[in-house]
Amino acid sequence: MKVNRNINIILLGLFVFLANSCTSNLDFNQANTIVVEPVVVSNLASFEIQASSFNIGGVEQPSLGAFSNFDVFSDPNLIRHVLEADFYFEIDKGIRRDFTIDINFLDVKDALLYTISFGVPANTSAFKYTIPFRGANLSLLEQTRKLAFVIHLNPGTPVLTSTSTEILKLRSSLTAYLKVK
Amino acid sequence: MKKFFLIIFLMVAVNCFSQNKQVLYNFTSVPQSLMSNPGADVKYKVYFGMPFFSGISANVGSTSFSAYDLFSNNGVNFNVKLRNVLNSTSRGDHLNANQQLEILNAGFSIGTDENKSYLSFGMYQEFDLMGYAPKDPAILALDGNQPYLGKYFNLNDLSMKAEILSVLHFGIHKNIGENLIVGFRAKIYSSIYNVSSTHNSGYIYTDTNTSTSGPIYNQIISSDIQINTSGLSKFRKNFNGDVLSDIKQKALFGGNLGLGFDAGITYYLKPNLQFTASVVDVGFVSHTKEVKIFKYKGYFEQNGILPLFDGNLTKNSFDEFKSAIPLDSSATSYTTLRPIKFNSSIEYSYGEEYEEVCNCSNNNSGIVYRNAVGAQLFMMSTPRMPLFALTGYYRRKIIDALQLKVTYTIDSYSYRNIGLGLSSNLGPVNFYLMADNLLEYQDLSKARSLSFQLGLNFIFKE
Repeated sequence: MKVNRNINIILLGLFVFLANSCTSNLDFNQANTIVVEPVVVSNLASFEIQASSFNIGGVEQPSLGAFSNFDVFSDPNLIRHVLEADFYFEIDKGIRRDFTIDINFLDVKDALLYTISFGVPANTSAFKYTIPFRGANLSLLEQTRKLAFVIHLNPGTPVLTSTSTEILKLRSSLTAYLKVK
Repeated sequence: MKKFFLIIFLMVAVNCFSQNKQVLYNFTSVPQSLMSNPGADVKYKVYFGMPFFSGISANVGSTSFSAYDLFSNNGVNFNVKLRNVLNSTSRGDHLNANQQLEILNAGFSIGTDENKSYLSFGMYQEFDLMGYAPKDPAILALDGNQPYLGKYFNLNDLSMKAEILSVLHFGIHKNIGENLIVGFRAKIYSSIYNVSSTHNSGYIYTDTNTSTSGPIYNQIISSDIQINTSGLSKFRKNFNGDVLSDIKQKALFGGNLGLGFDAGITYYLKPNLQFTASVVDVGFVSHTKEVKIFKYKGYFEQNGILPLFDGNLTKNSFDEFKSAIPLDSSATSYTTLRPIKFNSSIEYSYGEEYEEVCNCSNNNSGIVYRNAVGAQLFMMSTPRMPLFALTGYYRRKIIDALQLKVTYTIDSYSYRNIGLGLSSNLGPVNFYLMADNLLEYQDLSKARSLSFQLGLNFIFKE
């Protein structure tokens, strides 16, 4: 009977323990201080152009151009979380002429907002160029709806003909630094 | 967006607590023990539960973190704590919350002492939630892909299901011979709201392209994600109706219907050596009303813009992504399976005493035992691996009006889960209260899992 009485006391004691539970000081408002800072990389554009493409009908063209839709930053819910967007370009095995590449940022009415322009010496094997967009420049990205890629041949020789075999390779990427509070 | 990230991280961090009711199982002084084993050895003439108060239970839990780990007011930056929680979580962790509210529960015996059966019936509402930790998507959301070039972010980490349903049940329980009791319970499910997305696959991959040709990165999104919903479609369009009346209407067989059953046995190897086993919720729900299925299925290589230099406008890659992996929706019916629970126990009783009024219909010949020790096994089906729990217990009749059960449970999540249950009978009034993880009650904020069951019944014994 003594054993039974002790068991009863232990079991009932557990219930007393249960009833006297406590909790540490918690602050659920801390959730409002959450900050997430992902860094996202993505391909931006790439192309390969034969030097012969600059010769049309036996006449060397001073430039070649292409247009593309580009509205990835047009969503205000995205751009307000972007701290910085780095546009990175890589040129490889350039043609045997100095040239300049312009990337024009156009708004919804095709008006020019901004131009990234860089000159590339002839026969470049590994030309790299990075331009960051920060602060007020980010609003230009928000307004951008198209990109215009323009390759200008600088005056000089040799003249590019329909039999020119060099290849101009461009590839680029985008690195977006986000901060979500 | 902030809430989105918080939800993602909480889903990552919150882990399993199974629907194991180890204290209630085979605690036959409580009529609700029939709900976990329709073949439980109960001995009531009539019982009925207080409507809406006869069975209230809830399980919540986490194995990888507690409320204290995230929200303690200890001066540590919340983002540091969040990062720690994410690091301690694996893709196998999961959330499994369950809540039940009995609306009605009653039973009575029929037949003679030699051919006795019990009938029971009732209705209850249940909420089930199971979600695996979306570890890879959470890392991607937290850090982006730049630090993880070459890593496949698995989309099959996205796996969850949630359901609110009502269950109408009718059970029969019969003594077969002196040593065997069998029970069966038929169930009609009426699903009120359902969301399930459990068989997803795919990946998001980024790595540096080592070739001198082509884009800078090899970027691939391969997606086969499907989200099934039922009962929720009206809420997508500024629902102005009454949610409560919507729930009531669906709970009373206006929802998506299904069928299921429970079955169980109690077998006495000796008068004081008992074996039990049961399966609960073997069933399905067919979702045909207010169904909306969303699919993201496709394969996309993100090569960026590929200017044509031919005067034509090039599409941007986001448009191509939307074409390659479109969001499709349909209203095709689908079927969900209920999470099947299996329980089994072996129990040895000792400390004989004789009932004042002998009930000699069964093998007990009027003998009742003051103490019992036993072991229980619990298993539950999940979208991935089954959950297991092993429980040792001690049950004691302190006085005729008071029984206690103490359990010690080991499962994948805890090696020190002590539970305690109390069942008191004051005249015909039966009150029970059960809880587990008692060691965590020293500081509830540090508890990774908690559960309780309580209720009020009226029992008229034989």
